[in-house]
Amino acid sequence: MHQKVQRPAMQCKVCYFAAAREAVDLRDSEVYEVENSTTLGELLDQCTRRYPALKGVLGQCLLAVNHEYLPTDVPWKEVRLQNNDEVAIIPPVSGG
Amino acid sequence: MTNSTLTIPSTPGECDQGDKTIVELTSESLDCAQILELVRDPTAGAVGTFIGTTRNTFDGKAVISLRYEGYTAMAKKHIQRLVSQARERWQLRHVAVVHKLGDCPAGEISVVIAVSSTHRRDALEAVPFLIDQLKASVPIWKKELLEDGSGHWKANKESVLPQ
Repeated sequence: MHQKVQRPAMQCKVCYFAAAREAVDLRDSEVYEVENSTTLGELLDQCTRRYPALKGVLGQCLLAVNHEYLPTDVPWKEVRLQNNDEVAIIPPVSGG
Repeated sequence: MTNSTLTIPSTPGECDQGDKTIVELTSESLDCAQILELVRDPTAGAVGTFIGTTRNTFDGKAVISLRYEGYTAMAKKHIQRLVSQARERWQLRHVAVVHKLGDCPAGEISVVIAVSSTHRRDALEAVPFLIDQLKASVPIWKKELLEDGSGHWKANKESVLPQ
């Protein structure tokens, strides 16, 4: 019997800033419905499918999950997200 | 302490002996004198400061304004962490880090860091640490608006980049 197991969905918020915000038509943030155990890489693939202009910006960006930077040596596809995680796309900073 | 233009809550409980840490991102104009008063203390012999100001030229072009935006919750958390790191290295009394968001026309103040300490060296050394680290990692951005109508997102040379 081949019954496909329906994985329960979860929600992740994505926040955009500066050049990344301009690449997504000036949206501050969006909530994405994703499957359980979605990775950061998969979530960002969804973002860039929706906003192709984001692809060019993303390469210069750091990512933060729940207000903490993701170390730059951690591949995005290895980061499993949890329900209600807040992901932020962080272009090079220029405060001060 | 009362003030009419800007409500700056202190963060109690982080330090002993009533040392204050004030971290704020605000769309209001920054009042240096007011921020200095927040850190001045009869037990502190020194106040060290950094006052960042919008320069009116960049590469010979006239700058009209800088437009700042910030990831407020994360920025405040990371500034608080920088202050904690500074307190581990230097003996500090009160610390205020206040950053402007929104438009900051040429000549106006974008950031004020004020640090008080019993002896001057601690305050004077903590200030460059705080502004350098803020510029490297705190999620705040500015877009430079030039007289010719163009606008450019800036990147600090200290900013941490992906590998």
